[in-house]
Amino acid sequence: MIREDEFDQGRAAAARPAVGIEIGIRPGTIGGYVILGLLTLIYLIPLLFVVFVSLMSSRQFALNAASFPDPIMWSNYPEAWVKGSFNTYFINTLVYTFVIVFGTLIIATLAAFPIARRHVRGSNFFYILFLSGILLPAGIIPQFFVMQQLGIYDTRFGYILLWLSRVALPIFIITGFIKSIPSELDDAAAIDGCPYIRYILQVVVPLIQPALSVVGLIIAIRVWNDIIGPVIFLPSNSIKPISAGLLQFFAEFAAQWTLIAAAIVITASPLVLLYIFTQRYIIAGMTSGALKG
Amino acid sequence: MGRTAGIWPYVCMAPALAAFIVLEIVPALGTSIFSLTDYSGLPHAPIRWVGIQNYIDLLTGGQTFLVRALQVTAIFSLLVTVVQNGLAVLIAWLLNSRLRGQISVRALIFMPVVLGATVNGLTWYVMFNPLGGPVTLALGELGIRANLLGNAATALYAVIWVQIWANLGFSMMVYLAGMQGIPTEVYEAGKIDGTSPWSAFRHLTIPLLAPSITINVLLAIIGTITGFELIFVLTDGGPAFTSQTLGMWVFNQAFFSNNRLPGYAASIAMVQFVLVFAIALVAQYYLRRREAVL
Repeated sequence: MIREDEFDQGRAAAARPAVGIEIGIRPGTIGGYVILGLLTLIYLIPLLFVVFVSLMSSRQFALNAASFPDPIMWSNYPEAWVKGSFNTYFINTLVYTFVIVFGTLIIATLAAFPIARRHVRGSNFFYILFLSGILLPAGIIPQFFVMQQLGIYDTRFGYILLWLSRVALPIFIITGFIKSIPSELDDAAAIDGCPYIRYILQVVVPLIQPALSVVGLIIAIRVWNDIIGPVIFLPSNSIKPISAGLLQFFAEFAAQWTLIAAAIVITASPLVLLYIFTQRYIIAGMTSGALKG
Repeated sequence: MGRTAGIWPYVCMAPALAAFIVLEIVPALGTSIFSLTDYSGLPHAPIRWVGIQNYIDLLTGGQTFLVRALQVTAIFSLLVTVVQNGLAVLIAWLLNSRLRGQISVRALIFMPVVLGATVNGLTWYVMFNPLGGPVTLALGELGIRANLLGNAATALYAVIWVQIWANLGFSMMVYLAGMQGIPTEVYEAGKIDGTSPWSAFRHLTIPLLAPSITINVLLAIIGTITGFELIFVLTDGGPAFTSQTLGMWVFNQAFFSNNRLPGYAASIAMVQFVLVFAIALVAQYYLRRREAVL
């Protein structure tokens, strides 16, 4: 039986050596390219249009927006940057992103290790408790109340703390990763009397670095893009991150489309750069919740 | 190591646990409690129990709002879930091939997922803008004068278009991953039987993709009923509440309407929660059963 199967497979593979997975699912090639081209247009046109508008004079935009920018108005960028106080927003977002990414990775790893290794009583309970955070809806109204009561509403600290509470998915992914590495090292460390926290930070963290990079990347993108959080919890402009700053700019400079377009490009370009260089990790990370679920 | 570490494992878990309980679990469960109060959101105003008054208000005074929000949510959720998943499966099928350039197209379609709601929303705001936006110009060529986002008849559908445009890449990647998990032998067998590409897609790919379909459909349903970032950026629920889903309503009622009432908003959030829970349960049951049959 087995030999027959192997034989059939071998013969089929030999007959069509380089076709791979497309066998039987290949649509008409020309039709395929037409659809591919159409998709490219649907996704590229809006993005390119914004870039074009960001380089137009407001006069050209008013006369004929759907054209190549002429003359090219580089000055829209510094103008939008200054008028929209993007200096402040940029620095705020960098601080938020940095603190939240590293803060989350540290507290999530510190919690994931004892859970993965069953070093705490009821580790299963804690695992499921954290897991439930992925499914539970965010209670924005009680969150507002709690933050007001703690005196951290409309503060940088409060916003960071709010993000640190979103540890469910990081813990889920990191716990899974720790479980996949053998625990012999742990026992050796115990005999050496290596302190627990130092062991996690100096030995475990380097071992799970691939998982940490992916999780960190995903958190960074989410913080950069967060809009509902700042709108509710950071009404003061001086401590807003960039997405909320962009929306604020849009509200203040309504109808000045060339500046708005420049502001959109300013906000999006760090993400585009990040995406170009770390595409594979970002896609893997962002879909991992769905694929494991 | 666990036995020798004493209290340290608990100490390590404490920061994550504390943040998670105070700002995630307690608020998630607390919505139901706030729905029974007249919480006003003002820092020093007293909070009183009002029993089920908010729910009574919702079903009597707020009835027209509730019905409309449910209708908008149903249209938004249904159209986005069906169209986004239908297109995503077909495009994933097309891209799971040796067409030249398909890798770049994949990356391009996924890009809005990374760019986020504000950038995506404002990009399309510029596209739709009534003065010189390309969509407006193109429709003008066809003799249609339209301000898609400003018109009560079209705003919801414009938002749905952007929502699908923005999230198609995510569903597509999940389907692609699912398709790559299907063993080649399955198609080889079909090839020998002389199956056409379409029938291979219909009778081999789709059934074997059932787990990916389940998760994608569930995520789309939950995402459209609870999420409202794009709606907020594009229309803020307007004009005249024609694009205000339940999630958008909760947010506006709690924080941004002239007559903000977080307590009342919490009762809407409970309706939303029960709806998501019920639909997810039914959908999961139905989809899983289909998986088992196949």
